[in-house]
Amino acid sequence: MARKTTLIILFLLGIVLSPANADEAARGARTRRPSFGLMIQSGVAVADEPVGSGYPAGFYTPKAQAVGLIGAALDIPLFSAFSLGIGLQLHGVTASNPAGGWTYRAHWGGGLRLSAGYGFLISEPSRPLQLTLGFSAGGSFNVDLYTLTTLFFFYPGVLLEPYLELVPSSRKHSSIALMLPIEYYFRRDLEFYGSVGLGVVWRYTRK
Amino acid sequence: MSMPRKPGRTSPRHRTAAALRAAILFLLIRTAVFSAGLAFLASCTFDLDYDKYAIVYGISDYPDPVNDLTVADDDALAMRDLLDDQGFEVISYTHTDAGATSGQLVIDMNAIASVATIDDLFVFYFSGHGGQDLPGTAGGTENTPDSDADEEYILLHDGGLTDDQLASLLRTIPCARKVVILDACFSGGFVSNYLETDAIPPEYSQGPSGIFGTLGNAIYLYANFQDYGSDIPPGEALVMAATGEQDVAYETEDNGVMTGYLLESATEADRNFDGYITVSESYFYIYRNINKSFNMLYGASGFVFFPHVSGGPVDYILFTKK
Repeated sequence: MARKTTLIILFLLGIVLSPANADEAARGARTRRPSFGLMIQSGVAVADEPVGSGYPAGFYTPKAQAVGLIGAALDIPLFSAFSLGIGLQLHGVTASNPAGGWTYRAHWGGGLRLSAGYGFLISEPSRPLQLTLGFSAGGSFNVDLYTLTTLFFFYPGVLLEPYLELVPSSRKHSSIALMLPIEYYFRRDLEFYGSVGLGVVWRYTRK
Repeated sequence: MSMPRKPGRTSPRHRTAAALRAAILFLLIRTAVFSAGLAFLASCTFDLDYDKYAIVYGISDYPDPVNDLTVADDDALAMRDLLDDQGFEVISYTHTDAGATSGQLVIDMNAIASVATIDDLFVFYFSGHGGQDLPGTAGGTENTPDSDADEEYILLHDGGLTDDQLASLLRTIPCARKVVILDACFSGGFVSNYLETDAIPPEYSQGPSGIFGTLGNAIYLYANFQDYGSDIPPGEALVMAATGEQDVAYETEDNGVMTGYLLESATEADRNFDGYITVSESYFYIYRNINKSFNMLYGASGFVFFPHVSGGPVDYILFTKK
């Protein structure tokens, strides 16, 4: 059963990622030049169970933390509908609620984000507002400061980011995309740390 | 009969403007929901249904008069009163001067260990001398990154108690949340952070670490994350230390400099207005005020120091604002 599911997924991925399909998808899309993007997003992170000597197993339960992020990115189209992105971000995470007399700490910091994206044009090229559905996948490298302290720590993460891009046919050099970023972070001091959010990115492509 | 469309309503420019308006509206709604959520959380009170225990020691009169301090015993009594007011079981575990011995500390720790549970909060407070000894003193180890090789100790009335010895005693306390507050010289050596790098060096007068040094250290610690088995790791207790590992602490006429601000923090340090003061909030209030007042005043004379705190992903409520 698992093998059959894997084969189906591979088949669908093959269709979706085939160059022919990409060419089809890219036809009519906005100009294929590097674009600069400004991003803002917010969401919810979930932290669970600190790791390290002395922490009693099972005492600390999962709690939610609010996340906010702003960033800037450069998207470089490679061929057809593929692109590579590199960006810098500033993010902040609030402390969790203090139920039980403890919180997951607030922290904020910066990060480098690398991603690869793929988009399909889902509206007619002749429409005044072209819609592109796509996703980005990549990773981030973050250095954060625990709020109210002088303690810095590092953690990498992976992200999957479906998006819907709105490109006015009259102004193909700028667009707005709505994103649904889903991130998992490899924190050495937590059993689990991930986030999901909503975001908006404004992209500008040189004429 | 169909109505004629208004001219311009379907133009590409108009649609672009509509899309932009929709995006801005979307952002505004999200911001409003987010703010409402934060306001809701801030207005919530949480049932902190657990017992609180504290051991409070302060020593001004040491056997050798050369070591005598001025207000360390007063620090302990002021701290006892504060913790008592905060609902801690603390009166019978407060000892000053000749009563504050290592033997008494073991008795007090055992007494609390026999009644406390994992849900309870435990605080150990000490005001007095701190010192450094040769590596390996009392079987201790000093493997923590960013640590010097010396063995730090607090000086009880009958002798020193090293960071590793205190860590062993803390392991007998079953509480998940333990806080150690040390108003003593070199007390930063009790802090053991495995993952976090402190931008403030153990000797404050050296100035903050450079950004690339801090970044490199943070990545190094991530790549080499392990239990170094020395000092007091954040999982064992959050340590709030008056000084760095190589700094000296000071007293005023009323209190130790750190303890003075610690006492104030119980009412002044609620940064997020939720009615609770966490270890981090208290620590921030202390270091900001030491820097703004004491270090500014005496910096030219070289009498500067900087408090340090444990890392780790969790923080504990230390005080309830009254």
